[in-house]
Order: sequence, then C-alpha cells, then structure tokens
Amino acid sequence: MPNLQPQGDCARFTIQSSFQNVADLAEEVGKLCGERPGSDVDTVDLVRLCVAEALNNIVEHAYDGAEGRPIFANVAIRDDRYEVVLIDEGKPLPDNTMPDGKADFDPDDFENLPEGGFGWMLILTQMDAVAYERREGCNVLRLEKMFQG
Amino acid sequence: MYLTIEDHGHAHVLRPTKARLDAAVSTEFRNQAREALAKGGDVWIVDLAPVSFIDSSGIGTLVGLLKLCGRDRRFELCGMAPTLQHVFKLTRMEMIFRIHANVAAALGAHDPAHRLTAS
Repeated sequence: MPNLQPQGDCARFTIQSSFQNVADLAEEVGKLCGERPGSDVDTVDLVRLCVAEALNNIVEHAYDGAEGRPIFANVAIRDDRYEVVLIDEGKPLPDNTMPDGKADFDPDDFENLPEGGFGWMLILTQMDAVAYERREGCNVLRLEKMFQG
Repeated sequence: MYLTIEDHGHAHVLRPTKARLDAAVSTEFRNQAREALAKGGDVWIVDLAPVSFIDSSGIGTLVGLLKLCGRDRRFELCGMAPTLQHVFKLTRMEMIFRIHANVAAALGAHDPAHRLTAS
C-alpha cells in the first residue's frame, strides 16, 4: 500500500472487499463526517453516497467481485472540507483514467433506459475534487467535498 | 426476506424490508421482486418508506423492474425520503418513474372506484 502520509488528524479503515463491508464502511464514513459540529446533512449524505459508489466500483471492477481483498480508507476532516482517500490493490481503471461520468439517456426510450452507470456520474458531479492515480500497484482515489454554509 | 407484498385488489404494494437498497442487497431484492412480478398484476407500487439510503445499484434495480413490467403494466414508487428524492433528481430518475407521496396516494391514483367518482 502506498504511504500517503496524511496530514493532520485522519481516521484510517481497512476492510476486506465485499458489498456488505463497503456498505458498512460508507455508513461509517458518513457517521464520521456527520459528527463534525455544524455539519450539513445534505453534504454528508452526498459524501456517504459517493464513497459508497466508489467502494462499490472497487469491489465490482477493481476486484471483479472477489471478496476478501484489502480496501483502505483514510478520512480526514480539514478546515474547510471532507477528504476521503480510497486505496485498493485491484485492476487499474481502463487507460489509468477516470471515466467521463456521462450518463445521458432518453427518458422516452423505454427499452434502453439505463440500469447502471450512475456511479461515476454522481462522484464526478457531486464531489468538489476527484483525483485518481495508479501508484505502486494500487488504485488511489481521492474525493473532496467542501463544507456548506 | 428482502421485501414484503400486500395485495390491495387493484394493486400490489411491494415494500423493501431493509433500510438500504444498495449493492449489498440489490441482487436478492431484484430476484425476489422478479418472482413477485411474474405472478401477474397490472399495478405495482414500491413503497420506499423503509429505505433511508439508495445507491446507483438500487436505482438500476428499480429501472430493471420497471422495464420488466413493460409499457402495459404500471410500476410506480412512493414514500421516498428527501434523501432518496435528491438522488433520483441527480440521476434524472424522477423523469422516468411516476412517484407518489405515499401508499394511500398511490393506491388512490389507481383505485377504479375513485377514478369513476372523480370522472
């Protein structure tokens, strides 16, 4: 696992990949963010949702659904934002690049309504900063969300 | 058990039992819902009141069930908490689902007697 040397207080989590474990971790991250005095419920909900989407992607795509593989999460509450870094040892994103997150569809085209593909769209549109890199054989995804109000 | 079903005569209410409709439960929920839908019934209402969190996997499951019902049957939603409404707005799902405030409103909208009275 790359040494990210987080600055300041940072909660660290390590879990084994499974959809249940990542659901629990996303809930835990949401709870942690919600404990910040003056935290805004909508902002915390978005962090929880986007962390859940990113973690689901790790299980489904980086690890091809395999259970028992490591996932690391660093959660920091900075002066002005939440910062979540997710690390896994699975497959890299295609071309080592994040998807564009476009999820366009025609609501009148019933047969072709999308049954997926919203994860990256939500992450890229609802977080204030998203960065991905492949480092030392790991995927490192950083999500940042500014405090509101 | 990931869902319960209520038969209201003119409509069925399908209600998730878990507080999360996400990747951890969506496969089982989908399988049980598909079994239920296979038994027939023209109007299906999903009461999402017990659900406090939905992710793209849960949304995708609902879209799959909507498509399974096809154009000839009704598959509608109700009881959505503000958090869920927000996610539906972000994903533009509010454009493809008919969404009611609660079960009573959803059933009322499909009650043959009510519709006769209203007309």
